[in-house]
Amino acid sequence: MTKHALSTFIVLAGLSAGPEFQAAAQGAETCKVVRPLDGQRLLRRMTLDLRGVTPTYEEARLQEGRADLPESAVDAALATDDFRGVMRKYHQAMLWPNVSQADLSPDPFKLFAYEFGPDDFVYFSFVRAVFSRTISGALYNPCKNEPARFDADGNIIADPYIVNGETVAWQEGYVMVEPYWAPGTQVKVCGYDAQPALSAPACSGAPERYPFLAPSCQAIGDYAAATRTPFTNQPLDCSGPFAIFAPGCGCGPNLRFCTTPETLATIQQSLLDQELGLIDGVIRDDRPYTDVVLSKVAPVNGPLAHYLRYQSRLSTDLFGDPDAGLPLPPELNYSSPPGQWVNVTRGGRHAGVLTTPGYLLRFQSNRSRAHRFYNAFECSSFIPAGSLPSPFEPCSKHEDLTKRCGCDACHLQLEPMASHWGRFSEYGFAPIDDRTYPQFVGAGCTAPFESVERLFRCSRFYKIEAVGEEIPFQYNLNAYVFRTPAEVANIEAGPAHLAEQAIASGSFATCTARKLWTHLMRRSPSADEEATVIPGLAQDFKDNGYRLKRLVKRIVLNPAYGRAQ
Amino acid sequence: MNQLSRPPREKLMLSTRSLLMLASLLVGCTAEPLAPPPPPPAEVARQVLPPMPEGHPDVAALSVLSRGTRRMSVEQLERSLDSIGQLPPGSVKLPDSLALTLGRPDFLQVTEETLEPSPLFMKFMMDLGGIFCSNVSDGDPARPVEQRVLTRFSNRDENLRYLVLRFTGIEGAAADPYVERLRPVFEQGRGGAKGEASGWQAVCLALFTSPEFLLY
Repeated sequence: MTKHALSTFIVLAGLSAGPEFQAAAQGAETCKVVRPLDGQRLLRRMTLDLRGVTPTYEEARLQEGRADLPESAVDAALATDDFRGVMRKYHQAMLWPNVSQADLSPDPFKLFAYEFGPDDFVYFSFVRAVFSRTISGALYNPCKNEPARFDADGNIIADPYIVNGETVAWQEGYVMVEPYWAPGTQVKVCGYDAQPALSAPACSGAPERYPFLAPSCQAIGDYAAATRTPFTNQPLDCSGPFAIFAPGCGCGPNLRFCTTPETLATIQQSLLDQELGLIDGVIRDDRPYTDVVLSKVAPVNGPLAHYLRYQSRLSTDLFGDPDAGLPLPPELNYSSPPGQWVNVTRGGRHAGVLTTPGYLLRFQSNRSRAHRFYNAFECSSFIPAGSLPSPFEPCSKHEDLTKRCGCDACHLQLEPMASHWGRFSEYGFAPIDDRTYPQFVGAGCTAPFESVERLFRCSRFYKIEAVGEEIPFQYNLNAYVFRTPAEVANIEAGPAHLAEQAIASGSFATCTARKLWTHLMRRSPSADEEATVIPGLAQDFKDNGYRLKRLVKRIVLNPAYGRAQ
Repeated sequence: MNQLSRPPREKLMLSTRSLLMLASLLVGCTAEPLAPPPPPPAEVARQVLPPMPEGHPDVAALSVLSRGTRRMSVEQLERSLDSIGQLPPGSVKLPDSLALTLGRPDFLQVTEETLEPSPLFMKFMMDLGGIFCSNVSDGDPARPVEQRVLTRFSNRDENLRYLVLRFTGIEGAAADPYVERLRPVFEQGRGGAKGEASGWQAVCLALFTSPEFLLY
């Protein structure tokens, strides 16, 4: 802390009598005198660090007159739920949980409440409004505030909305729907948004009826025709990425495909809670800390189960196909009690937090996933050795970053690490299934395609149009391009292999000891401590089953922790 | 200018050097008196350090390391105020936007919690302290004695000691200087609109904004 900042306190408070504060306030040049902290202050320090709160009056009374910190007080603090909460914060600082930038719910599936009057609102989607109602003029036309009408075939009847003698939109009425987020209640939803169909024909309407959809229908239709892919009037999955091209698709039964701002926020929070909840379990049960990066068990709650069942496939960008390795408990649905988390055992290549959707969506490229792991669990970073050479140098033209000069210094190490996530989608969170998406696709990605979705996936996941150094890898899954045999083995093994390497080398234990020391001591280890204390802590951590609580206790009971400067 | 018409670089350098040499010779031959010698260097002021005070630790001990000092995080502050004020958990809750300003990371734009006790932080602490202490002071009389925060004891100094312990974890003889300083705070404060309550409010605010509370 700077002397200036400390002085700010003193000037404002005018109270402090402690020598360390007084000296700094007077701007005196003082040497860093280190002395043992009073017992009561030490209890306060430990309680704030391990429980995130100052001691209660009763705890302070028990400590009265004591100069030391009893081991039992540390044990008691470690046993609290507060400690789990503090460790959650600690891991947030390591894993940076935030998925607000991920397109979890595409705009056509976002419902908003349109208020016709006080306590009178209808749910509708702004973007679906453009594609289903608007002809010209204002874009975001809601439906009418009257019950929807249907023809004999059950189709919605829409009426023209005429301005100056010109039809600018078609408007239907609303229907009453029991939403998945509030079973037993009914809400008004615009007819087109409320459509319950599970599939509907693509681009089935007349172009003049859907002027904002028609150009896209035309473009995709032309491309589909060129690749002999069925599209126009073919049934589309209403929970799939092309659903918006089917005017007969809406939010599905009970609006299950759509979100409101509230349900979306709940799903975002659940994704983060799952990631951190996995760590909570390790801390609470004092399981080996290695489980954080290796465990197959992960908690799932109702909102998350609902999202993964019904909403994760809707985006054209974010890949969230069903994960065969993640069984969703059938008893969980969106309205399950908020605190109900069910542990499920994941299969496939899952490995602790490293393959949770929260982690994969926060770090959307395999390189960033590897880098965060490297930083959080091995205490290392990739820092360029210097500036890049001229782009006109021949070695700067390599497509393979492990060969491109200037980049190679980091990427020689980063690419093998990143390859461990090769079977998880970048900008997405779902595993890339081995059978659906083999390493080499060949004729599987040549015309004719079975569907536009297959065509789309082929261009997204495979190196179809390879050039230059990529040519030997044509028709390979992108993750395999430029990969050596050893790196291909990493792809097959998954992130657990990387974690196991870090554990076996000792870097995981050393990093954990160093990070916790830095966190609790509020400073990095000195050179001496780095050479003497940290290795001892790491070895003890390793020898005693990677118990984090034991490591925390050893640091808190270290004499340095009990000293004041 | 083409290559041939440009004078060679060596020739240019030579001519420049020659001019300089000529100039120095001319100066050397001038009849003007020489410049006065430079003044002697000023004496360096010596500060005589006082002897080590009694009880000063052995100099060798100065290399012994301790834990660093930091300020409480926003969450620690909220929870500690709940505890000190004997309020239900979650009673003290800073708005999210303010928490971000005070250093809570969003893990997107900001990934590290800022725990520097900046002037901005202190400004907010003054404001928060004002609200907290005022509310606690207003609510104290209605509470059972054993649940009071500012007026738990009938004796002024006992209350002061209690508050010093609760806010800072300082007790016994170490608390004496604090109690000494808080007495005039209380006495001056009681001249306020709410009488004694204003005095206790002032004490609460002094402790709230003290480094002994906010740093640990």
